[in-house]
Formats: sequence, C-alpha cells, structure tokens
Amino acid sequence: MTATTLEREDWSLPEGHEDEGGMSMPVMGTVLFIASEVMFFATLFGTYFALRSAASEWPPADIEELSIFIPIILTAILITSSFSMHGAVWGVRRDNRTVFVSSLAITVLLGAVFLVGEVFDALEAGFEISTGAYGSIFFTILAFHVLHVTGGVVFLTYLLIGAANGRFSSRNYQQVESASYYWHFVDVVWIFVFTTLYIIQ
Amino acid sequence: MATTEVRPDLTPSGEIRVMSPYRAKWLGWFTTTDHKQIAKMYAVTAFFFLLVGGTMALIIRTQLAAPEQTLSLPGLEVTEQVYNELLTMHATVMVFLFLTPMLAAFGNYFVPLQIGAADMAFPRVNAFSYWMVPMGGIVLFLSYFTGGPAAAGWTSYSPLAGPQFSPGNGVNLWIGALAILGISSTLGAINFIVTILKLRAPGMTMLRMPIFCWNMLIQSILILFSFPVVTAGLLLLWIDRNLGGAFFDPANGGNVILYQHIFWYFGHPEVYILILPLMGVISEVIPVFSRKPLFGYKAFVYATLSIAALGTAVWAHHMFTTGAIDVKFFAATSFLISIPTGVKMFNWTATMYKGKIWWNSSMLHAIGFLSMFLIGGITGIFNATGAIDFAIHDTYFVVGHFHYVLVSAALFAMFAGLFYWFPKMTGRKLSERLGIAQVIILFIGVNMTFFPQFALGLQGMPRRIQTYADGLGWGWLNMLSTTGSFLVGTAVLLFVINFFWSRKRGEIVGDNPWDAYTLEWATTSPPPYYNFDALPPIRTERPVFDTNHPDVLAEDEEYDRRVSSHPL
Repeated sequence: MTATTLEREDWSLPEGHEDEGGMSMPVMGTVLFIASEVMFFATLFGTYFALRSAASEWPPADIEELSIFIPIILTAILITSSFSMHGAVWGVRRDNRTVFVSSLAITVLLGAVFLVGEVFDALEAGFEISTGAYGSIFFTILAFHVLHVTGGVVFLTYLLIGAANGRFSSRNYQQVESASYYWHFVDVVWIFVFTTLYIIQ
Repeated sequence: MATTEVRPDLTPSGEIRVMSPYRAKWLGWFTTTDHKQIAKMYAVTAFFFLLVGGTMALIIRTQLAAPEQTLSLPGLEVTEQVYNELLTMHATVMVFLFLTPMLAAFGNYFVPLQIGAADMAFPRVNAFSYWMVPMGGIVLFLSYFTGGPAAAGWTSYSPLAGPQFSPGNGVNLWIGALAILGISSTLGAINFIVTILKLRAPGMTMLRMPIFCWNMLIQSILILFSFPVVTAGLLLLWIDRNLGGAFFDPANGGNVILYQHIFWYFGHPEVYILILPLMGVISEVIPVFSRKPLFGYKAFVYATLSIAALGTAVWAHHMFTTGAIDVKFFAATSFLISIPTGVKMFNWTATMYKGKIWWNSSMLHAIGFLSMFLIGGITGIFNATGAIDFAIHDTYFVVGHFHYVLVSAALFAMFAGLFYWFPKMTGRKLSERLGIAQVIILFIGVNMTFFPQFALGLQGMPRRIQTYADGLGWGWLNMLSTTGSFLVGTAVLLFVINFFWSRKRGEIVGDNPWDAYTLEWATTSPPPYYNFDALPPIRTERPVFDTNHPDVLAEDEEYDRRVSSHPL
C-alpha cells in the first residue's frame, strides 16, 4: 500500500468508530480533575464561612483591616491573563503561530507577576497563620491558591517551550485546551478568594 | 498470500501472548501500563494488606476475649496505647489499603473488558494511581519507626488528633498516607469515568452497559466529589498540628464539630464507594448463575443513582449525639436510602426467583452477600433512628453494624467475584471443594464474630476500649466473637491455599465456562494484552449470550415486536 498520497479529507475511521464528537479524552479528564478541585476549594471556603458564622467578631478586634489596593490590581492582571490564554487557544486552533506563542508568553508573564504580587501582599498582612482561626483560614486559602497558580505557571511554561518548538497545531492542541480550562478555573477561584478574603472582610 | 504475516500477539510457537511482547517479563511488572497487569498488582497488594489488617483484627479480638486482661505476645504487649494504635491501623489499612484497592483491581480488570475497550483511557495515569497505593502503605507504616503510629481512631477527631493529645509523628504520617491514597483514588476515578464515557464499543449504549460498569461509574463520581473534601480537611488538621493553626481549636476561634462535618461528608459516601462496586459484582454473578437476565435492569441503575445522590446528604447521622445538627433531617434522608437499597434486594431475589440456580461457590458467596447485607442494612436503620442512636451510639452495636456491611457482605461479594472471574484471569477454575468449605466456614465465622456484638452493644459495651471489667456478663459473648474471628481467618487462608493450588493445577476451562453474558467472556482466558481481536454485535446488555443463543434472542425480539405492536 502506498501511504503517502492520501489527503486528510480521504481519511475515515472503520465503521462504527466514527468520531462521535464532544470532548476529547484528555479534555474530559481535565474537566473532571477540575471538578475534584472545586470540591477541594469548596471545603476551604465552607470552613471559612463556618468559622466566620460562629465568631463573635470577624475579623478579630486586634487585626487591622486589609488594604484591597494590591488585590484589585492582581485581579485585573489575572483576568487579563484569562483573555490572553483564550487568545492562545484561538491562535492554535487557526494555526496562527504568532498569536498562539505570543498570547501564551503573555499569559505566563502575567501569571508570574500575579504570583509575585500575591505572595508579596500576603506577607504584608499584619498577622500570621497561627494568629487564631482568622489567620489560619486566611493564609490556608491564599497558600492553596498560590500553589495552584504556581502549578499553572509551570505547566504553561512547559507548553510555551513546546509551542516555541512547534509542537502544537490545529490538529494537536488538547494540552493547550486542557491548560486553558485549568487556568480559567484558577482565575475563577481567585475571584472567590478576592471577594471572600478582601471585599467582604 | 505469499507474504509472511507478522503477529505480535502470537509467540513463535503460535500461542496467544498474554503480555506485551515489547516488555521484559520481570521488569514488566514495574513498567507496565496494561490494565490487566495493573489490576493484578492492585489485587495482590490489597490481599497482602487484608492479611496485615486481619492479623491486627485477630490480635484485637484476642485481647478482648476475656475481661481484665492485657495480652502479652512475643515482642508485643497490648497496653492501652498499643491497643489504640492497632485499632487505628486496622481500620485505616482495611478501608484504604485493602477494600479500596481491591475494588480498583476489579474495576481495572473488568471495566475495559466489559465495555469492549483495549485499555483504560489514561494507562499511564492508571499505573501512577496504582503505585501511589504501596507508597501510601509505606508512609503509613513508617510511623512504626518514628515513634509509634497514629492512635486516634480512623476518624482522627480533633482535638484527640490535635497537637495537644497526639503529639507524636504518627498522625502526621497518617495524614500524609491518606492524602496520597486519596489522590490515587481520585485519579483512578477520573480514569474510570472517562473510560466508561468515551471507550465503549460500538453499539454499547449506556443502558446496555453491564451493571458492574454502571456501579463503577457511579462509585467514581462519588469518589470525585468526596475524596478532595477529606484531603482538604486533613490538610487543615495538619496545619493545626504543625503550623499552629486554630481551625479545630475552640480556644482560638476554631470549631471541633467542623472537623466531624468535613470528615463524615467524605466518610459516609465512602461507605457507598466501598459497597457499590461489590453490588455490581453481585449483579453480574447472580444473573449468570440463575440463568436469567437481571430483573429490572433500569430500576437497578436508577436505584444506584439515587443511593449515590442520597448518600451525599446523610453524613451527619454519624453525629446525632453531638447535639449540633438537625437529627430529624438526617434521620429522614438516611431512611430514604433504604428505599433504593430495597429495590436492589428485590432485583436480586427476583432474578433468582424461578431461575435455574447453579449452586457453585461463586453463587453461594453471592447468596451469602445478600443475607449479610440484609442484616447490615436493617441494623443501619436502627442507627439512623435518632432516638435509638442516642442509646447505642459508640457501642458495639455500631461496630457489629458496619462490620456486617464492610466485612461480612464485602468479603462474600469479593469472593463471589473472585470465584466468578478467576477462570477469565487465569484460564483455570478455583477448586470448588475448597470453595464450598470456605463459604461454609466464612458464613459461620462472620455471624459468630459480629452477631454477638449486637448483644454486647445493647448491654452497653462501648467501642474502642482495651478491656472491660469482670462480672458484667460480657465475657462469654466476647469469647464467642473471638472464636468466630479465627474462623474468618481460616476461611481467608483457605482461599489463599485455593489460589496457589488452582493457579497451577486448577481445572483448565475454556473461554466462557459459565456460559456468561457480558463481553469479557468473548475473548480468550486469559485475555491477550490487546483484549479483543473481534467483538460480537451488541444489541442488548447480554451480547455474548445473544451470540451463543441466537434462538433465545430471536424469541425475545419476536416477543418485543408483538408487545410493541399491541394496540394497548
């Protein structure tokens, strides 16, 4: 059989194996993984509200109110990075390498800036994890969000190296799509973190 | 054809290869991503931990056999501290290192085969999930070398497990082990869900899927939504212990009841996580050995779904006596679960009704499951009744109840599955004689062990005590229970002997010795590493039966046609 002359349009799967459409397996796996992560963060937020509802004063009297100036900037950065992540998926779907690689690079950069800002701001708070229940839940939620953003930035950097070497195309971008779902999830969690820990404090 | 065909699936002498030819046989166990080999490793690991946890149980039972004693074994004196350690490790090992991996073993081997797939969706993640299990076991048992294991019970309630009352390293390693095993289960669950949703053979709609796969799917969804919760809760406990957190420290604004909520939000679904796949196993065994299709397939699926849904809304029935929850609500949801469970019991018995029952050891074990699960379930209703629970909470009644479900019923279902599927995994049958001896000893053993515990509980014997006073009249019931536990041990050892004997000398049987129904029986025994070279058409939930008995299929279709063309 001569294998070189087939065009992609001529390809077909054996009968009964037609692609039924829908999510690809890696993307479905990612979505389910995110579902488990949602339960993880739901437990942390549930803990926050359980502790808060039982407290007589929240935050405790000896703790100063937190400034929301830096967190607002961080929110803007992370939401922008969600858009640039979407740009990367848009680019790779259309085999637009310039848009793809540059959007991915912007996302990694914004993620890294966010990370530095989040850690810096947390260290500026005038209390510690051992300062009663308020401090414990505040730093626990922040720390787990930092860990998740770190994981995201590391994985996006790995994808960026692959992208620079031309590893992805419109026919092979499941990893990019999975990473984008995860990144949007991290972004949404931050909006909850921001609302809970800073706005309604 | 004049060309030489290359058949990687055949050995040079023309026999079907079971393992991939691309891997060395010995090293293959460490590098494999084949779902069948991983399943075998899961099963061997789980059985090893069954023996470990079982030995601990026997030491515990021997300690309790007579009042006011402190057992002295060579190198081990069962003091109160040692007793608490044994109790904690026994429960942790049995739940997380025996039953959970054992179910993963069944699922890994038979889900891809039953849906006509070549492997799991993510084979490497699958191997990773497996290797996390021995890793978790090592972390858990490392605590014996770093100042003694956890001794706060498998629930590790705070403040008992907090920094003040459990200062050693044991609880830290226990948390680490559970986090590792939780991640293993979560990744396994994702793998099962994607496999079942994406890799079914052409023609296998969701409602033609074997019940075992349905139950694995629903179990995986429960895992996905409950394990991350306990992982988070245990991390909070870890922060309390090591970083000076105050989550469960009321003096600093913490809340101890919160830990119980988080733990049981996982802990109660965990019971269904452990029993649903075993119900799936039973739903494969009973129809085949009754020579009838499962009665009420759809009702069974819906019942399983409702058990899972209700199972996430009953957790606080473990906390009735805290006084911090709404007893009426959680009693009501707990009662509701008995309805779908009753539907399932009805399905199984109605399948057997007027069936041509094949009384072999697999079927006998399955019937053992039905009777034991009935006792376990009915005593559960006692516990779910708020007023009664206040009297029997934390007594041996509760111990008897959950051991009836998680030991008696679970062991019977596991053995039913092993006797049923052993021919598929090895090409040989397990010895029937030893099997029937085993089922008799096991039946007497579990009832002798756990039934007296109901009486002990009603007489007021509390759980988790190292010994009890003389003259309370508890001695003879405890002695009975201890005697029974050694019978259970004997039954398990009989299976081990049976396994090693039958692996080499068991009767060689064909691909489908039971004239069974589902797709795993369409391939060879044992299956080749790529599982199937051809699949039968799948038009009902019993494709292999339809292929082997076209006359029955034709009759059924004729009946369906008549019924559907009837004006009413």
